[in-house]
Amino acid sequence: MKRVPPILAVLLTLAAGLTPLCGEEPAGQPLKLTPETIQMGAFYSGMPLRIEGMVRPGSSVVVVVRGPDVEEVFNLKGRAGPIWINKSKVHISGAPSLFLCFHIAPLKETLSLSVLEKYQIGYEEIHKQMRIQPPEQDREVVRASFITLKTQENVYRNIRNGVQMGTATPAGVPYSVEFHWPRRAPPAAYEVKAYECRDHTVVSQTIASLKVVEVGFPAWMAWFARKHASLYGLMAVIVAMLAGFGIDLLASRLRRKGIATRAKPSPAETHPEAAPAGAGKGESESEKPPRGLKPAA
Amino acid sequence: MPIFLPVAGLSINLILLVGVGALVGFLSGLFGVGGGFLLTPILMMIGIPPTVAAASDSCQIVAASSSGVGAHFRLGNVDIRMGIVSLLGGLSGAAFGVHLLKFLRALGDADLAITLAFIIMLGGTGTYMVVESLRSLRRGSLVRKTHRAGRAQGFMSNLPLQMAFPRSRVQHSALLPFFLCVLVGILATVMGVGGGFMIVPAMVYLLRMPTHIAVGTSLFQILFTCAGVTYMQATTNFTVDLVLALLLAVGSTIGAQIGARTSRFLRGDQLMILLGTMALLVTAKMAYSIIRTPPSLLAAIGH
Repeated sequence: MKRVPPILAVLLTLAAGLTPLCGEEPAGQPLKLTPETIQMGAFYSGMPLRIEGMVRPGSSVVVVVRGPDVEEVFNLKGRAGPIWINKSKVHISGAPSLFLCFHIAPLKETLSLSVLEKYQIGYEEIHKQMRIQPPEQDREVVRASFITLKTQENVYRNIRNGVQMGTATPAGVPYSVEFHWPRRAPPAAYEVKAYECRDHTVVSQTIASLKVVEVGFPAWMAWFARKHASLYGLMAVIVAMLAGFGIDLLASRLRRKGIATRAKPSPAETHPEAAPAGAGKGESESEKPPRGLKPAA
Repeated sequence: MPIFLPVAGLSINLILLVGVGALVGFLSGLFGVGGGFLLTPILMMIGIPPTVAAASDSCQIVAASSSGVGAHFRLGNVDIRMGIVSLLGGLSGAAFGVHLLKFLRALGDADLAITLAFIIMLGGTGTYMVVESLRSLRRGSLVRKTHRAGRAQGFMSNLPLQMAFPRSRVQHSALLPFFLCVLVGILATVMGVGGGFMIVPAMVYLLRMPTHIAVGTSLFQILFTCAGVTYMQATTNFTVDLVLALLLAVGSTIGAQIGARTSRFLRGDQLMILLGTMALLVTAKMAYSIIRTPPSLLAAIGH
């Protein structure tokens, strides 16, 4: 085997290092995320997220936030006569758990179809990446239904005019994206990509990572439920019973003290002839405590 | 005010959860039903994953029915003896129901069978309750009911293992409530609900128990059945969200207290009409949901 001359090896290494993304210019300023980590505490309800960056004058921007690919199982509904029923199970993989796309002009006016395909931007590209099992399902119907479902859940969004461009400075044109992070997005590492676009192509891209993590009591509780399931199950039953009996005890004490409103006599007591349906002899009689038993408190 | 649910992995409005719990708890205390048939769909509607909704629902029913049982017990509305026989029957039925469900799923079209069973059972029970209660309200049912009961009494008194249920003021063969609850247990498991909706009318119309005692006894049975279900869900599926269950329970236990007290202001006929109407409303909602074209043909497992 021929040895590569050392000088050529150095040149090749340098070339590889200088062109991390084929056909693109070196990335500009890094993306700034505020906050960089989203903490899901006890009172978490999503939170405002700001993405900031800089592009050269004359460029447009597309910002994509993408969750990790996950496999999900769904019921696929079908018609059986006049009714819709769950006909079969469908496994869908290869689609991101979250897909938020912010842009200024319509995607197809900003980038060519081949570029959208290359960078997997837009719902159509998610369609292409999606894997469906069993494969004999009507793929188009399943894909369209998947996007509809995710859009309803607010984890797939395509937002036009979602990027605000600032005033040009000598360093470039600043841009920002502000939105409320969806509260239904699960804990995971999300990828934020900003594409600088010019002449229907991507001239550079910058990437940042957004972490969504559980912290504090919810994190402990989730860990306890998974790692000590038996103990957790027992605790759930006992705590629920104690809560129920505790509130009952509290309510009865409050009533005894006269804090609760006085109960009016029931119609059955005031009108014994108006007996409820039920046992043969009528309940006005049967409601009386049976012989040998103490009357109810 | 938002709160994060650790097992469900999402945040939800705290007041909304407590309010939903209070509504379902009120119905639980009033009618002696667990409320699972109402709460699970409501939780799914507000965004809780179906598996977490169903499992946490069982957990909150434990709390709500504990509170309801306490209140009904003090009012003398719990027939412990009948409750134990029913519980044994219900658990046996549930165990058999699990295997039946597996068999139905293997045959395919189990979901259609379950949906139709739900509509027929709930619709049938609801119609029967409303019609029967309205009839007895109009005609004064005491004499007629006694005659009707007299015919059935002959068959029931010939069954073995006769047992007195002094609290309910009835005497039956233990086999009757046992097998009745086996049947309810099977249906409840196959249809995925607690079964209170079916137990209360069965106790009132077939076992001839006073309505208020049927309500209290039904809650007693549901308490232990749901405790078992909660434990199994927590250990096998890891889907019990205790924070969610407790928040629902705060609302439902208070609601159950009010419901149990309110039940004293209503006659048995009125309770049955209300319960029957609710059953018919749920049936109508279910029938509509399977007829209308869904916006997405995909649904999360459990829908």
